[in-house]
Parts: sequence; structure tokens; C-alpha cells
Amino acid sequence: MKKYLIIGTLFFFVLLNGCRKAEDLTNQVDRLDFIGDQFALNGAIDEWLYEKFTQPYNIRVQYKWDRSEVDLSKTITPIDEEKVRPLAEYILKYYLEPYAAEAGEFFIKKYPAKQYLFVGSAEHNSNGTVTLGSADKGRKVVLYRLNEIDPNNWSAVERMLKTVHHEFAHILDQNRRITAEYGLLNKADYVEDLWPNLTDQQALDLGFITRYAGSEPSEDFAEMVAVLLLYGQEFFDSQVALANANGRAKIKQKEDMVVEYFSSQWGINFRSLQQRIADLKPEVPPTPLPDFLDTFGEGKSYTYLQFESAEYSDEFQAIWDDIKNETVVEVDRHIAYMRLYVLATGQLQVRVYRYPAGSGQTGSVTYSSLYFDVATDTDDIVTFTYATSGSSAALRTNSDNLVNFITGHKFVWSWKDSDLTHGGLYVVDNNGERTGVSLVGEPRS
Amino acid sequence: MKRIGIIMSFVFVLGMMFSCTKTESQFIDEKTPNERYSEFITEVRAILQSSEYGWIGMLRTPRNDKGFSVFMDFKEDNRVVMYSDFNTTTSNTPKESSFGFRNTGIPSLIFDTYNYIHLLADPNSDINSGTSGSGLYADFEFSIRKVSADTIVLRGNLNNNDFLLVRLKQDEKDKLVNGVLTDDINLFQNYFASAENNYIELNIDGESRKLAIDYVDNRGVAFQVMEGSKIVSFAGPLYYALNEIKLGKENTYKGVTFVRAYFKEVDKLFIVDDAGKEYEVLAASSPIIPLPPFLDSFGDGKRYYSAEFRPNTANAYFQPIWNAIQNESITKADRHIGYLRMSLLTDGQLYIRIYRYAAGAGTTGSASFSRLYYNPVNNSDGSVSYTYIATGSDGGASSSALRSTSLELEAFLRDNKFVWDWKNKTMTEGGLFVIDANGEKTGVALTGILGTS
Repeated sequence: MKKYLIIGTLFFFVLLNGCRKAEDLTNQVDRLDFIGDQFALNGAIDEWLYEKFTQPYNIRVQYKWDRSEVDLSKTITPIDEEKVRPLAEYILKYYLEPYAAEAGEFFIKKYPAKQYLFVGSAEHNSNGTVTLGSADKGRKVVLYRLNEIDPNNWSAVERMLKTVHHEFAHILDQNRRITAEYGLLNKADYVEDLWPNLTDQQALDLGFITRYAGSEPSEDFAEMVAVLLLYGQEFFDSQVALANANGRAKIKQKEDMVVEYFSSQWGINFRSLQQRIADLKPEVPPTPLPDFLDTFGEGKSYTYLQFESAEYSDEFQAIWDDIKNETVVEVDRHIAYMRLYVLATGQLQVRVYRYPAGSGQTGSVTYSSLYFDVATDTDDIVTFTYATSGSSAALRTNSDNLVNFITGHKFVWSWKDSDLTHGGLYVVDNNGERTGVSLVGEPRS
Repeated sequence: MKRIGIIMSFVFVLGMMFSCTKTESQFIDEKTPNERYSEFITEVRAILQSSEYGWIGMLRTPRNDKGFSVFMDFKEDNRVVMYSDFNTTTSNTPKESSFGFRNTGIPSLIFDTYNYIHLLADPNSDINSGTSGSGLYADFEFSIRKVSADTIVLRGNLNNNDFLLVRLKQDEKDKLVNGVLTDDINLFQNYFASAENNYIELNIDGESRKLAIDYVDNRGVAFQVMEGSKIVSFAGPLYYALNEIKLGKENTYKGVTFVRAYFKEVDKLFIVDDAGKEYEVLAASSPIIPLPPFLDSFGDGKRYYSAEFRPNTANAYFQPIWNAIQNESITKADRHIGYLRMSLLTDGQLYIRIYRYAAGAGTTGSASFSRLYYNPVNNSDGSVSYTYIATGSDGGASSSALRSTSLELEAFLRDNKFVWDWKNKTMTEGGLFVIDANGEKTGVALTGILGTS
């Protein structure tokens, strides 16, 4: 028996000691590092994002590509680094800062999505639409198609910001629901995936502020918030005015619910928030017009400016009348119009066109020219000195007023408005400010 | 009792055996996957950055068999500067972005912010003339397949693009910076645009063969060769490099792989194979690979029923005829003539329909048409002419006026000798070609896009 006891003890001893090897087992459950170094930092951008988003708002802005963060079945491309900071600045200014000011520090640190993903291309859907943004469980907001946004083009930036506000409205709604009555107002009208088939007018008449609002109640709510906050009350009201009575009534009812929701659920004065954002908006589209002389001049898109009497500024009318009355040196002809050329030499050429009397602008035409030398200063302000007249010496003697006008002022070349259909010489004062006097015509080739 | 002892001894031995069966290490080369991954990536990174003048990358998109060259210079801090033959701006303007490595099961090289390589993958088809939503089915995330000091073989993770990086030399980098790539694109694409019936001659087993060459969308080369009565085709991508185009390995025939092409002299293109042998690209006066007879495919009951002539495809000769028809034969108010269709009826009659649309509506909305019929006159030289028989109506307005207003068309068909033929090698257009006394095409023709109705 004793023998067995010894064997048994020995057995337990073996069991106990058989594995007492000094082994580091942690090494064997080494987790694969799937991240690699793909988030290697690009100093300037990443530091800025950390300082402006992560530190104050607990938000991580991710712009480097990570396939696992987007729909694996879709063709999507990353953002261009150049877009990251300018677009992020807009998000700060038009979304985070206004909410922070209205709703307080605690709110703005807690509720915004903790991860912002910037994506270059759109996400294309099978129904032919593209996705511009998504909010995932209140934690992650994805903004798509950012490469196509010119940061200097306000209307494009505005669309992006609308998406930002839209997604945040979802997050608010997911945390504290808008009243169920909101969705019941249009209960029978929501069309889910068929919303692209709605026209703008149909959507408005049904009571939806946008077509997408017609997809489902939560999108309806997010669209209402985004349009009201970002596009502003004036735009909102102008849309509502286009709707029929039914649509108008429903949209206004929903507007009231939105305002009430922000107040009762979040203690946010919606109107004040709306005004704060409206005050930030640029007065005029910040999109700079192309340099006038990029397209106007010898060998360029437009080679001359056509001056018909109807297009003269009032100030110029008298000068024009002078020319018209005095420079006709050929019998039985009348002056019809004038053209301005910028020659390859930089000289300004003024041509006055004459037609047979009584025949408008038909029949054979003759013209006389005046030439001016040009000097341009560093602010692109131009001044002219008279050089010579062309073949018709009489024009010079009869066009003192015109010559005095051109040589007696400082000008800038510019477009009349953003549709780029008219432009010309604008008189500026000594401070370089426009005086309101101009010589504006239609650029033609 | 004795049995208990035996059992206990057995258990003891068993305990001895099993308690210590653990192997010393479960890892290849005694390294964890992470360690091996890191080492590998470190090595690849070092090789990529070691090329002082960067790399030429050749990307093939297999869904459309196009080739693009993307030049890459890998820098510290995961920065990369690219040029590309995508267009004459990207070929001339360096652009910087970031890259990274990632373990996606196989170590991968990822271009993680936008640069020229992403232009191909962009789902916005306006950018790359690809498919909306998918672009050119191109990749920007690549598995690292093979690495050597001068060559890195990559494979796209999403679309299986082949991407081969080859170390660049100093003179090549100099050319790149000095705009040679842009010049190449212009030079080659101008050549491709005017090239017709190109071929090279190849000696296979003592027998000379002509390989017909087509340049596909400026992005690929397609070869065709007659083997007896059989047409053998192969095709592959091309990449604009520096003073040459590089050809993909798919451009291989009977063991001869064509690797590049360059202009030895002005307008004299030579293709070079992998053994260094050069083949001058010649131009034949007629297609090397004969197209099947046009009338095998065109006519009542055949593959194509009609050829649709639209005025913007008119040649100078035919324009006045078209104008005459267009100006005069509108027999209904508020309608304009959009196009005409030619068909061959089973009895050989030529049947022409003239289509009218609502004024100002282009060729949309409901169409009505008038008919003209012509009898064939078979000439002794094998050509054909057509004589007028009758007009038909479109069921609504009378089109008796059509005869008098289509006299120029009638004269054209009657007074010329024609052959039916294809207009293009892709066999999508064809029609009547005027021939001269020697049976040669004069350049005057009435052709259209082939259709089935």
C-alpha cells in the first residue's frame, strides 16, 4: 500500500512540476497589428486638427484612408490633403462654435460624433443617388465627396455644412426623440427609397422642405433642422411660399415642432442659434471672379468690348452723345456703336463704327480709331495716355470729351457681375475705390 | 492489488509523457507575425526610399485592359510625390500626398490621401471616363507580392490591378522633371490618332507573319494575326514612359514578348521585344486582317438592317445633297428632318427612309418618315448603282413632294458606281462608297451607323 502511496505522490509531483517552465506566454497571444503605420502623421494638418477638434471637442478628424471605415462593396476614394484644413475650418465656424456658444461646453463635448471621417469621393448607391454624409450610431459622421468642394465656393461649402448639420440633427434625435406627432403629420406620404422620383414641387406640396425629407420621418426632421440653420429662414420661407396650402401648413407645423424640440429637450434657443449662423455667412459669394484681362484681349477668349448705347452708364451718356454728334465726318452716315480692343502691345484701341444714315447697323460700315498707351500700377490700376488716331484725323478733333475721359481717370478692368456677360473699365479714385463711373460693354470674340 | 500498481504506474508514465509536450516555439523563424510584418515593412520602406530618383509604376486595370504610368518618389515621413501619364497636367506637375503600410492579412502598401493614382479609381466618371460609381476599377491599396532592389510587384486588393514599380535612373528623373512625359503623350497620341493599318512583320519558325496593330483608347495595344484562315488576337496595356511607351507582358505572341516602343526617327515607330530585337511599325494601304464581306452582315434578315446617316457625319461631298433634302422635303409643317436610314431589301432594292421630328426637338419625340425606293443596277466591274423607283408615304401626309425634292440624292445614287463596305474596323458603321474607273474608293461615301431596325 505504501508503495502505491509513493507512486501516487510521485504522480502528483510530476503533474505539478511538469510544466513549471519559465515561459512568457503573453508572446503567444500576440494580437496582430492591423493598423500598421497608416496613420503616420502629417505634422501640420494633424497638429492643427488635434488642437482645434480633439482637445476642445473630443473629436477625432480622420482623413487618411481606412477601407474598414467605409462600405467595402463601394468604390470610394480618399480625400485630397489640401481640402482637409479649409473644410474643417468651415465645420468649426459654422457648426461647432455656434452650438458651443448656444448650448454650452458640456453639450458640445458630449453630443457631437466623436469621429469625423473625411472622404474624397461620393458613395454611389444602386438607385442612382449618391450619399453625401452618414451618421453612425451617433459616434461617427462620414462626409463624402469633399474633393469636389472648392473651399472658395460658398454654395459648395454650404452643401457640405448642410450635411454636417443634417447628421448632427440625427444624433440629437437619436438621443432625445422628436415628438412622434412629427412623423404622423405626413404618415402616408413618406416614400423611402423612392424619394429621388419626387420633384421639388411635389415634395413641397406634400409638406417636405426637400425631396430627401420625403424618405422618412427622421430624415425629414434632419432636413428641416439643416435647412433652417444653414440655408436660413429667408431661404426656408421662400421655399415654403412655393408650396400649396397643404404643404405650407404642414411645413410650418413641423417648423414649430423643431423649435419647440430644441427648447424643451435641449434648452437651446433655436432662433438664436439660427441667427448666430446667419450672422457668420458671407454677404456676397466669396468666389472671386476671374481676372478680366485673363479672358479679354488680343488672342484671348474675348477680343473686343461692344458698346451699344443702352449699356452706357449715365455718366458716360453725355460723352457718347458728343461723339455721336460730332465725329461723323462722312456725309450721310451715323455712328452706331463703339468697340474697345486691348492690343497685344497693351495699347487700348477705341473704334467708332459708322453706317449709312437710316439703315441702322446694316450696309457697309466704316470706322475710325483712337489709340492709347497704357500704364499699369501694382494694384492693377491702369491709366491711359493718348497716342494717335488711325486713318481718320477728324475723329481726334471731334472726340476731345472721349479722350479726356479716358486719359483723365484711373481705371480698373473688371466684370460687371458674376455672370460674366459684361465688363470693362471702372473709374477708381485715389484710394483705388470705384467711383461708380464706368465704361462697360459686352465682351465678344 | 497488483493490478492497481500496474494501472498507477501506467498513469504515472502517461503523466510524464503528456505534461511536457509543449514545443519550445510556435513561430516561424522564432518571430511573431507582428515581428515578421514589421521587419518586412521596414525592409520595403527602406527599398522604396532608397531610390534617389523614384520609381516608375505601371498600373494595369484588368476590367478594361488599360495601362497608366504613375511615377512615385517615396520620401521620409510617409510622403510620396507623384507624376502620371493620366493627362498632360499630371505628367508635368508633381503632387505630394501620403502613403502607409497596413497588414491586411498580407502586408499592403496604401496610398491613403488623394493623388494621381486615385484619379483612375475615382467613382466620379467625369474624372476618368470610366463607369459611374466605379471609375476604371482601379486600385490604390496593394498587396506587396515580390520585392527586389529594383522591382516591386504589387497587386490591387480590391480590383486585382497589377502594379509594377521599377527603379528610375537619374537621366529618367531629369526627363520627367523637364516635361518629357508630357511631350511623349502628345507625340504618341498624335501618332495613334492618324495611324491606319499599322503592322509589324515577325518571323515565326521561318515563316513571315504580319501582326496588325491597333491602339486602343490611347491606353492599350491590340494585335491581330492570321494563322491560316483563323484570326488570332491578343492585347495588352501600354504605359507612357520617358521617350518610349512600355508594353504590358500580355503583349506576347508565340513566345515573343513586346516590351516597349519608341520613335527611332521622326514618325518611325519601332517595337522592341524582350530579346532586344526591333520591329519597325509599317503602314499598309489596306487592312492587314481583311474584314468579312459587308453584305454578309447587312441586309434584310441579316445582322444589320439599316445604316443611319446623320448630318454631322456628312463628308464634304455629301453635304449639299443633304442640305437639299433637308431644306426641301419637309412636307409637314413644324417638322424638321433628323436623319436618313438606308436598308437593302431581299430583292436587292435600296430602301431609304427620311426621318422627321418636331421642329426644335432635335431627334426626340415622335418621328415620321417618308420612303424612297431604288432598283440596283449591277455594273460590269462588280460595282452597283441605283435608279429611282417610287416614293412611299409615312401613312399620314402625302410625300409625293419628296421625289421632286430629292433629285440630288437620286442623281447621286444613279450617276455613281458604289461598293458596299465597312467604314471602320470595329464594324459599327458602313454603307455605300463611290469608286472610280480603277475600282478605287474616291473618298466619297454615304455611310451610317449600323442598326437593326
